Amino acid sequence: MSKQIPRHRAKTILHPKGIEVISFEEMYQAKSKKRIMFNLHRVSFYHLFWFKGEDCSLHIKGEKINIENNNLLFLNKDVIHQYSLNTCEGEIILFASSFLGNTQEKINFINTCSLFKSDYSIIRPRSEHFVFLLNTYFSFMKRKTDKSKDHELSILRNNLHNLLMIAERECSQQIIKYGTTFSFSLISQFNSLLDEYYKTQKQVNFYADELDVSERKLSQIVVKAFGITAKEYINEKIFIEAKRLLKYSTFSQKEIANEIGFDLTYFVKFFKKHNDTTPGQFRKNG
Amino acid sequence: MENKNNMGFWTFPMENPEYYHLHRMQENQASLFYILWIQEIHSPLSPEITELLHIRPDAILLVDAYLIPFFFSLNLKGQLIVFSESFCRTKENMDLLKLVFFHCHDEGVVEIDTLNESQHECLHLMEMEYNAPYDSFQPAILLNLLSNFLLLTTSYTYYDEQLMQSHFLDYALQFENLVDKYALTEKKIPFYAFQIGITEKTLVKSLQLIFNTSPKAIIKNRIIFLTRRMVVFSEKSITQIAHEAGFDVSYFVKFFFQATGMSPKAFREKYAALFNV
Repeated sequence: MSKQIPRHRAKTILHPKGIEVISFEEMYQAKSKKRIMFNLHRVSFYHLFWFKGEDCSLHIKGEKINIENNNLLFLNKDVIHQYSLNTCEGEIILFASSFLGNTQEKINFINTCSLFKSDYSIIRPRSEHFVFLLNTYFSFMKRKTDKSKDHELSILRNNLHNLLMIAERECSQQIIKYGTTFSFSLISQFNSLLDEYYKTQKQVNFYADELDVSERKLSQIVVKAFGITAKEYINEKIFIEAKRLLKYSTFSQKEIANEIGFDLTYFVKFFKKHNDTTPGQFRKNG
Repeated sequence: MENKNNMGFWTFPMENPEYYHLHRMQENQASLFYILWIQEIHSPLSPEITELLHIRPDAILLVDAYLIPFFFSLNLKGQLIVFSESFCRTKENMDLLKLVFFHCHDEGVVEIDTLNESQHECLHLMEMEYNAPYDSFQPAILLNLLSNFLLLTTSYTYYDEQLMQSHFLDYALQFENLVDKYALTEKKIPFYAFQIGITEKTLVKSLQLIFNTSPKAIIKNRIIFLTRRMVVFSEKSITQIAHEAGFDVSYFVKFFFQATGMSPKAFREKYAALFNV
């Protein structure tokens, strides 16, 4: 039997429109959220924290992350985390992907923005100007909170999109190169196919067939977007899932191997190739 | 490759002569949209002008192309924001644009109601973003800010949420697009009702609800607007313009005089002179 980490869906704790802008203080006072936030949990929506004050921390994937004054932290969906009990202040934006991605352009943004590719990113402001922008956008978004009005929701959406873009700009500094629209939508389709089929289908040609492009073309586009080949990208996805299961479930190694569609021997071999340790050692070292 | 100069968006201070370079660059300068944020007034203006044009510090004006040189001649301190229709990309943004700029088409200049600081904030953020180095995010950030500005502006004027989601809005915007295209050749209302596929009565009701005016008035104003543009920006003769608008010359001159208080020739001379500062 496994002890499951609870996964909360956006529907149950997030505002039905898929967006909330609240301060830490308000968050602590919301009963439905309080019950969840101080325990290990994961949720199906994104967080954007803006920390104010010196003594701030957050537990992400079992690690205590210390955060400095004025830092911005983007937390991806489905990442296991836990709030720390401290006197930290700040603002939080909670949003679902369905809220932000109402147009193709914004879906493309989600699929190519580097923030959405890692478990979490900390953005340290390098200039006064950036802090000024954070201030302006957050106060703007706090003012526009009548979610029953469509135009106010649109304003919130535009502001959130801008906030993420300036955060992305601040943390990458290098210019992100956009491909053509064709490769955008292909990558996003590839990602969703992968989510659905990675357990049973591990060959690039399956995905290329589904997407109706040649294997070569798919790999080219993946290399351009992520810097690794399509095959490596698929393996990476499986490896991350394996690590997740090892760390947070009580499944045996054999069950985990089964779960991701390998036999046990191959699973151990696969894992060693990616991590230089065996699954058993990885689990022990935590 | 897209860059700052060809994304279809510009903003600069009123005291910057770059404006004139921009105008020489633009082949179709008349079809750009202008938002003017007045910050300071240096030299005192005559009372007639202030009464007519709502020029006061902190006012946000929507201005039609032909009046822009006139504003430059007033020695104002302020920010000018210019963008093309194609910059707006999505249908939602285009619709917003049509709603906000509707009355600007008729009157040449409209002061917009500002309820709080948010609209100023949007314009200020646009200015800052535009002055930052160009990258692939810049057009999207500017467009979001512009869209927010338009949304805030419509929310004060057209606050009725139910009306905004009704089919009346759709009809009114369809009419608006058709008038843009056909005003000079088709002056009869049944033509437009037929094109949209609704009765004349529904058309009248839609326009009354959304724009608070009649189809007849819109068509007439659009003819004034389009001929005014041609008089200022094209090199066509007045006779030619009259024919294109479907009038004989003497009627056109009378019509134009009624609307602008000036004959086409005098109008052309006045505004052409302003352009060649």
